[in-house]
Amino acid sequence: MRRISSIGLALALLAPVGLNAQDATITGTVRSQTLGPVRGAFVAIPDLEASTATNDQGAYLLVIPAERVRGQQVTMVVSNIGYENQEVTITLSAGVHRQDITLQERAITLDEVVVTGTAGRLERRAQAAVVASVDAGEIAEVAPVTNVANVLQSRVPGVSLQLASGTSGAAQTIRIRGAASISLSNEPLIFIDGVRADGGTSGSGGVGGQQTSRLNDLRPENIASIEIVKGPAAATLYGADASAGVIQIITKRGQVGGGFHQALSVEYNAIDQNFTPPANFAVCGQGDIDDGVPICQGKSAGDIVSDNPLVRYDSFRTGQKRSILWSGRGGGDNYNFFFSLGGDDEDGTTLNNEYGRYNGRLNFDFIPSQKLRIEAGFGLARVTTRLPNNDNNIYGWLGGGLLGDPTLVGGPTDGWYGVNRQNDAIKSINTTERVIRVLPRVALHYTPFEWFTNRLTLGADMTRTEFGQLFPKNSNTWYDAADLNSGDVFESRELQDRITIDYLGNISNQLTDWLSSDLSFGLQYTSRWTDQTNAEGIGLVTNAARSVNAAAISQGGQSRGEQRQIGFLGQWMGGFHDRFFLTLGARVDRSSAFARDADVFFSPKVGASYVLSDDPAIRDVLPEFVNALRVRAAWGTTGRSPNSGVVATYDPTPYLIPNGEIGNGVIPDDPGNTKLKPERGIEYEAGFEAGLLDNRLGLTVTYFHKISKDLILDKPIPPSLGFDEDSLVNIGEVVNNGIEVAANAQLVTTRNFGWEANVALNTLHNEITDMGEIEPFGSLNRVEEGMQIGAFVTRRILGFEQYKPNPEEFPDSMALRAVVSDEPEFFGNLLPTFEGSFSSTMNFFGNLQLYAQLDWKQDFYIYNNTTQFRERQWGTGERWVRRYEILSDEERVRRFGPFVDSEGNNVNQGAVNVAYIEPGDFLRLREVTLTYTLPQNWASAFGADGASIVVGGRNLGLWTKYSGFDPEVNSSTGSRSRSDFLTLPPARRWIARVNLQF
Amino acid sequence: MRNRRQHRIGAACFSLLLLGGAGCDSLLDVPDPDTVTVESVDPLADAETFSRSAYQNFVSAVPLTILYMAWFTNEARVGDTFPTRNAFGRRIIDARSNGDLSGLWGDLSLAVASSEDVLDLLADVEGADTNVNIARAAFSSGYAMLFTADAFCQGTIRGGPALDQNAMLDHAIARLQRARDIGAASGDEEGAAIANAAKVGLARAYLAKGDLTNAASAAADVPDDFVYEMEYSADPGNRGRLGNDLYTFTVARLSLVVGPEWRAIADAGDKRISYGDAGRLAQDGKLHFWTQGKYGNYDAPIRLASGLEARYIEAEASGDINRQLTLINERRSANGLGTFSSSDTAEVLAELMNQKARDFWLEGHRMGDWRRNGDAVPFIIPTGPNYYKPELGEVGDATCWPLPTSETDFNPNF
Repeated sequence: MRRISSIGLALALLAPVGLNAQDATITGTVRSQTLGPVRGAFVAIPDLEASTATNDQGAYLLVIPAERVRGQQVTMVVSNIGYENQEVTITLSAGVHRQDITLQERAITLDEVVVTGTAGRLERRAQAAVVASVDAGEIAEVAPVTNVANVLQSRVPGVSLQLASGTSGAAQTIRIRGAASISLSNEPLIFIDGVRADGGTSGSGGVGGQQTSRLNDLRPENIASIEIVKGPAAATLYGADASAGVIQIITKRGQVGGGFHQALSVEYNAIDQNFTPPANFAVCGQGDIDDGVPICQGKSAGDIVSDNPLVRYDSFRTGQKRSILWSGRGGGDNYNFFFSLGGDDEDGTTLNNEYGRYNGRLNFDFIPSQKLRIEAGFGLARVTTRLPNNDNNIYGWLGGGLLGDPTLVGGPTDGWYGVNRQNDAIKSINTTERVIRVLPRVALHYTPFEWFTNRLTLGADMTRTEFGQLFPKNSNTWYDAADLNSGDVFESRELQDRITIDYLGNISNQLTDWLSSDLSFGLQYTSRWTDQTNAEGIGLVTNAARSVNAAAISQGGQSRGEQRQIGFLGQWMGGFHDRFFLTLGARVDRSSAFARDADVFFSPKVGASYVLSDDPAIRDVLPEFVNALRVRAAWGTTGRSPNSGVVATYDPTPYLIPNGEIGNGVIPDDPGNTKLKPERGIEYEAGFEAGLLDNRLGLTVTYFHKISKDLILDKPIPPSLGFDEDSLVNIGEVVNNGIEVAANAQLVTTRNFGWEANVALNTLHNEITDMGEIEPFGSLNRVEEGMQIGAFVTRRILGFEQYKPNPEEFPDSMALRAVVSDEPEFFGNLLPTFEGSFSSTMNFFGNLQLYAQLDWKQDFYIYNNTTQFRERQWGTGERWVRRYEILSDEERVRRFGPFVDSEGNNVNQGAVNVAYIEPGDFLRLREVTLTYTLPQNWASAFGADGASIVVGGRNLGLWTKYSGFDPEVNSSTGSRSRSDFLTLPPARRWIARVNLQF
Repeated sequence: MRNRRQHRIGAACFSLLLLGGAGCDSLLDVPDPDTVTVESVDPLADAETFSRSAYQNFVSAVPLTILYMAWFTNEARVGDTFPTRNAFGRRIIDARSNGDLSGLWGDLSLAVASSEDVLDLLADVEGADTNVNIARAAFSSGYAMLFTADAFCQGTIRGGPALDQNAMLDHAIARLQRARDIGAASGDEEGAAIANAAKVGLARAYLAKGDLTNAASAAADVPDDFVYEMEYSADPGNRGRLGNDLYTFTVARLSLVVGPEWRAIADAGDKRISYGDAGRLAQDGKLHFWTQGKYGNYDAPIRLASGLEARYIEAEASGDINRQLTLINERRSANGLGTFSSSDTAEVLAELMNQKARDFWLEGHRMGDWRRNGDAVPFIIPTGPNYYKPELGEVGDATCWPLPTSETDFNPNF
């Protein structure tokens, strides 16, 4: 379609546009029934070959040149995925015509195109396995999100995110449909526009459990949608490494004939630490009083004193974030484009926490002929993260502040943990990661015949990471170790390149009036290459001269690695009457991780989809309130591969020759296992989608059952064999099953008030069903048949009894002790067995929108090691110091012992954790925003087509029985544990944003 | 007609893809410059590399073994934050959850296993009776077994069946005899030193078994001035493996704390105990950090065997009160102390242990001495609520370390 006129390209320069008085100008807003703006809707007058698209406020503007305005009637068509098309007739005359449009939302969208996990027919109606989709563009517009993790959090049933901490720039873990692997990563694969990308975590420095996330290098505003392939049933075509699921990020593109639009967004966040650190307690002894300990002066022996150094030193600040983003999208007759440039600058709540991100993206599609479409994309990110020390870390803020001794206030520690290590010392540790990331992509869509399509995608994800950590030279002995106090600089440089070559061909064939055939075939090659070099320098002359070369002593290291995979796929899909679809597919894979003579990994799949509501025979018997109904079932397999473990190796290790020289020797490292193969995930899922009650209620229900076989486990080798590594073996089985429910409802659709709500619920049953010959292992988080992966175990308290603690000296003295089980027993789950979220969008008068999201998780536990450590190891927790004052006898013994087993043997208190493994169940008010769309004439006052103001907050309320700061933390990066150990909880964030469209 | 053509094209494309895949072997060839594959090393040609590596495994295992032995017997105090380390100080060690225990067991096991591998590989090599590589491997295996028996009172060898303390000591004796014989026959300086140190090790093993005659006999011809020291390196890039960890826990981990009993000895002028005041708290933020002065750098050597130890073993094995008094007063005199006299056997034994404790402070002798001689060994904390950090709980009654469940659960012969 040739575009006659819309908003001119001159708008790219933000110049005001003059409208010819003889032109016909059609403008208005496209809204849903619930009054929400419909973004990106296609508005066209086919007779005049004029078209445009709505902006983020749903506003559009069409200008018809005067020479084509003859007072004729024209039909304007408005369409968008997920809505019924709307046509309106307009009598065209010179001047401005206001035409607001209301689109009727479809409760379920069977004709929406699914990009991910499929070959052949792309409409959702043909897909046998559910592929969830998140409208990232809309979420970024209305919700208080700052990164991709926020976009994914609590929006899709079965997708669970957990933040590691509240540190700005820190990573999260993502689990889709539970955890299937015991030893390998349970993180999903990440693809960006079909190119394998790094979405994992990284972190080279000793900053506790905090890591950075490559997923969050991307700006949510540049993403059109995120598709989530949840398990093997849908992920078969992703090969031997996709059993943990796939996240496909689809970046924004322009629209052919869609006009040209620009957007400018400016945002400010205030970030609150969202917790009050507890005080440290101590008892003043007579010696303290006599020695002049300041805090004990005026006290009596036995008096309890307290101090809170983090509060006293005002160690937390109100963090801030400033963000700006400029983007444009448009398209001509045979091209379209999208570009954006943006920058973030964030100061976290701790004094040495900063996060900065600059992003650029350009997507350009060119259609030189009807047979060829060329897509080119280029993403660029520059991310700088400065992380503080935290978690299990003696140089951290919480470690320093929560492990102090009040009786040492005024002395060298001044009530902190570390000697001479207070604010300045901790703040001066500089741990900075700088990442430059380049994501080029080219895709060719070649259609030599109408029935034969080909797509070739070439892409890369190239990441260059500079990591530096400096413990500055100081004369105050800030950092305990002499080396650190002399100045210690650690630097590493890592190159990581991922390459993707992906070909997919499809032959479509309408065999008869009622039978269609789609034959798809493809090849996918991916490689990952890493090279890391590092160097450490010890002993600086000055802190300004901080290169490794400037240090007195230097040393270095290097590591390299490469993995390659190649896979071939074939799929046939038959369509019967365009309402029943049968899919048969298979893929074979090989990987460099396995032995050369290893069998190829074969992944079959089969599935069916039946749109019942399109079948006249069934349509007639369906109740009136059922507007659309589809049932589906799928079965498929895929895998998970390790990076090594096949080859028997020695570890190069030095030895000392008596003359002082150092030779290079070996120690036994990995016994190897040439028969190792990928883990195999086998999944079936079945469910339905329904549009109900005049399409006001949409319901998607899915049951899944995933069995992970041939699990790769570290088969523990008895240490007496002398190997450094355990042997990897394929053994064991884990089952995940559950029900996922997603519902959306248009609750109220009046002229001035609309209310839409979404609910996402899922259950999860995770169980290790077989461990082969491997004995159960794990002392706190257990791996054992019949339990969840990483389930909490502890010796349970069976009862209390009186005993004589010192019968020889005090034969009449009795005390209480707890009798505990002889072995650790199951105590609670690591993974929530129920998760849910509820989001609500209310629209008032067409220009005011209130959005909120509640999120809850149930039936999981967290190890409150912060409290445990302060009470039982450090003796500074209030409950320990005031144990005889505030705790009952049984509660005191429950926490602190003494403990004995059934035979009266002493049991170490570390084996009895019933008081510190706590339920983590919570309900959180995660997101609230209020969006006000300015009237058009206000926006026009500063040259904009539309403008909105968003204010809101994130993490605004938390209801939980967990006694720690927040149950949504994890100080450990391990996938089989969850502990809160001096971990900074998630921050509360207040957001103000202005969006302008031109 | 069109359908047939479409199918043919589809089949052709699919076939091409599969054919391409068949030739993808080289595409999956990736180098791994980080690892040394087993196939790439020749154990015979590289015998010295293997032997020295195995020996280094033993030398690297010793400092931490000594440290934890010191904490266990109150030869030093635990100034550490880790509950797993305080568990050693409290003598209540959980075999399942104590990661430090697994580490200690693993280090000694590596020394034994890698040394035994060398002995197997070189078993039939020509000139085995004089091959110093074999002597070195037998020596490191035997001593690692000796330390294992001393600390754990049981053991196993390379995934074999459980061995009680005497069985472990018998295996140690066999290796040390081999080291003694081959070392003496090798004709080189290192071999001679190994031979004498093996004799001391033999005497120590026999003493632990209660075989007093053989203990005295093995010790008898060790020269008075003989000293065998294990060497360490201060090289910053390698001191993780090659450095003396007793120093690491003094200057970096800050948790090897000299207790008041030992400071009192030094304060009284006995130079065998050396300590300093760091002017701060230890790692745990609880104990004042009194630093040991015996090992002053990462490369400070550790004495493994000596003529002096041989004399102590002879004196103890003899049960002869006069012989013991002679040694006691030699040692007292040499260290500025007055003459000790007593005719009470227990008193003399206690003083012998007192002098030995001072002479071999932080050298890893006290666990065996304590089990053999009980209260005669000074400064052991009694069982009960006597730990110097009472919030951590009571002191238990263990006299040996338990085998970690990483061994007992996964060794099929257990």
